[in-house]
Amino acid sequence: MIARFFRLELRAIRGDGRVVALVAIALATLVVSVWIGVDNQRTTEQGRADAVEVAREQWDSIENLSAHAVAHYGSFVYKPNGALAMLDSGVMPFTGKVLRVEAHAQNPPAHSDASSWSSLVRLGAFDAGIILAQIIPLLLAFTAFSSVARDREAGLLRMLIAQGVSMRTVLWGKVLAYWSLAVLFLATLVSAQVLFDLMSGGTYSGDSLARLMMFSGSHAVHLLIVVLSSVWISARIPDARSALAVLTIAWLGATVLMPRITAQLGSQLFPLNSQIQFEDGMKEDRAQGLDGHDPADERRNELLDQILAEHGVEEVSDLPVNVGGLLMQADEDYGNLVWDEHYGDRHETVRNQIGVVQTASFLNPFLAIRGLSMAFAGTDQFHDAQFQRQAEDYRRELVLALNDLDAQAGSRDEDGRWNREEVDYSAIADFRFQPQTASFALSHRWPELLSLLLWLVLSVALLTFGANRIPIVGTGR
Amino acid sequence: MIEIQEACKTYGPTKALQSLTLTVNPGEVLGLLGPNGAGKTTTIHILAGFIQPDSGSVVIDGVDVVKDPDGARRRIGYIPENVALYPFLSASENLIHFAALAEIEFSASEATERLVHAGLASDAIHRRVSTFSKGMRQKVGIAIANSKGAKALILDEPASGLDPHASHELSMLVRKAADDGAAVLMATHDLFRAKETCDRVVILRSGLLVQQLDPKSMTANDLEKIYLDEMKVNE
Repeated sequence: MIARFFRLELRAIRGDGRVVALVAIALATLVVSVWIGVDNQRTTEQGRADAVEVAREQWDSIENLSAHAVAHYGSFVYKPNGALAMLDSGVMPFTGKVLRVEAHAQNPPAHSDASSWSSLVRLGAFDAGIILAQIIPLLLAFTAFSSVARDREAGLLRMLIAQGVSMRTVLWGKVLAYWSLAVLFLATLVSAQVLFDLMSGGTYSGDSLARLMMFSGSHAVHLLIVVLSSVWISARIPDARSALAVLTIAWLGATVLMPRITAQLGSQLFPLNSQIQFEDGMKEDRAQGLDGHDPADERRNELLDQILAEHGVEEVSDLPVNVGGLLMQADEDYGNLVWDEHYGDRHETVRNQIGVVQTASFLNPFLAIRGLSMAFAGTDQFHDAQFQRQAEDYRRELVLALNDLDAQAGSRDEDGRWNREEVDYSAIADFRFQPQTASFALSHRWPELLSLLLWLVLSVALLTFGANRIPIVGTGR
Repeated sequence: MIEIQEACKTYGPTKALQSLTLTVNPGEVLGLLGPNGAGKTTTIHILAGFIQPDSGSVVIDGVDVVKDPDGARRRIGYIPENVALYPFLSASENLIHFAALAEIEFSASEATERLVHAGLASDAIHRRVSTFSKGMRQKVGIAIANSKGAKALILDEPASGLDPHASHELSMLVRKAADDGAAVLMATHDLFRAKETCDRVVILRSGLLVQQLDPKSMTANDLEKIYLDEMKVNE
């Protein structure tokens, strides 16, 4: 019986030229957004690969430089795009994608995409994730607002109910019909994404496919919640016009007002230091530690005495190693501890801010789907933080390797002077980003997932168990 | 059988029904007369389970409408003043769909036969109902209500908008349904049609049952006079 109503509602939708036009525009917009996303992905990946190659060439061309000088010379690491960044760019356009790695300094990622956007792009930037989470729900609400109210006003609902069919059956038939539009959007999106990506030479790992399925699945659930709510409001509100007004206000509140209010609330509750404050704090704390470059530094000299004692010699010129490399690494180790503390605090603050949004997602499924959409695309704050974490790990390995070379690669002459060997730095590997798996996304976004599932259960329960309370006749007698 | 006992319904300060009690026996056609706002449609909506009475009981063919509205609806045929149909379906498709909701399967030829029997012109049967006049839609509604072979027929001014010929045909169909054993309750403003079709008429005024008459024992003019006298009392 539900299938019967599903088919009829679908036929009614097909017969409404305005809805058909809206759906066609939305489909075209989605396809274009995916095409732009895939093209951007290809362009940025090519740019990244070129930059990595140039950086490598520069690295390989290093000659006649001490390992310590090379550690200062440093290198660049480049952030790869998220697994499905072409579908949802998330926070990535607003965070830096190039990071200079060098000794004694943890530089922040620089050169975000947004910093090079023109004002026009700022106004018009869009991707499939935003279209699915924000625009398609509005379209579904505009389509479904009159689904029940219209039938009630025309008297059709009375005719149907009088035949002995339950209100629940009528409502579910309508829900499935409108949700099938959502499924159409998602199927088109996935097909376009796979097609464009394969055409541009992309490949799919099991993890990418898992992410694609979770991305589509979470949007399908969110859109089902939107449809259930729209049909429910259409059924509960006495007339179609009022139902449209309620749905429009709900959409504005959920997608425009509440995200801004929640973000602001998160910033107020857990204020984040500016980059300058962060760097000043780091500088201040590092000043408390050992300065490998300052011969007058007390802690440096204490460490020097310790090294001499360990080797059972009294003079630096008797050491079998270059003490400079050891001192620099000690300096580095202290700096790493300072960074871990400051970056840890900063990361915790961001984590708390995200926690505010995650908590608010239990009041607003739009917040839940935004978090999930970015996470499954590999473009949320958690994935972004992984780049910075891995880049820092690489920096430490690089500097440690160079300080080791500085300490070990050489020998003392008869006068006790340290003579450095010629070193081939090309053996030092490039930065290789280890992408996070889909389970990483799930492990950080379970509150949003739980919120979405609770919203689904609530919406289904409302429509199923509340159907008998829906007015069959209008306000007239 | 249709049984209403002490049914009351208010809308805010307005008393739409005041302790209405009436019974329609199988094979009987009861006419419900009264001006606009008298409580006719409220009575119909309560019988069909669209709204619930504030108090009292409503039973159709032994099934309590309040406790088991779905069960009660399976026993009724309902024709409103304005029959609403799916505009993008033909008359035949509409009948097949509505019958299927009552778990009755009609073939296209059966649907055609029933629509013709309800008075619809054969050339209209496969046309989209969006092109239909009100009278034509009413005829499809009659075919739908009849399709269930219901124990009770509830008609809310069903002849509204019908031409005299179609109106007469409707009376014949209603009469036949009653003769087949259905209890028929018909709200109407048409005193002549009530006189012609009904075994009994009741007059409602402000939610109160004020008169119960046997139309067969009087002329149409007498019925009209009594009705107008009741309305004057109201004024």
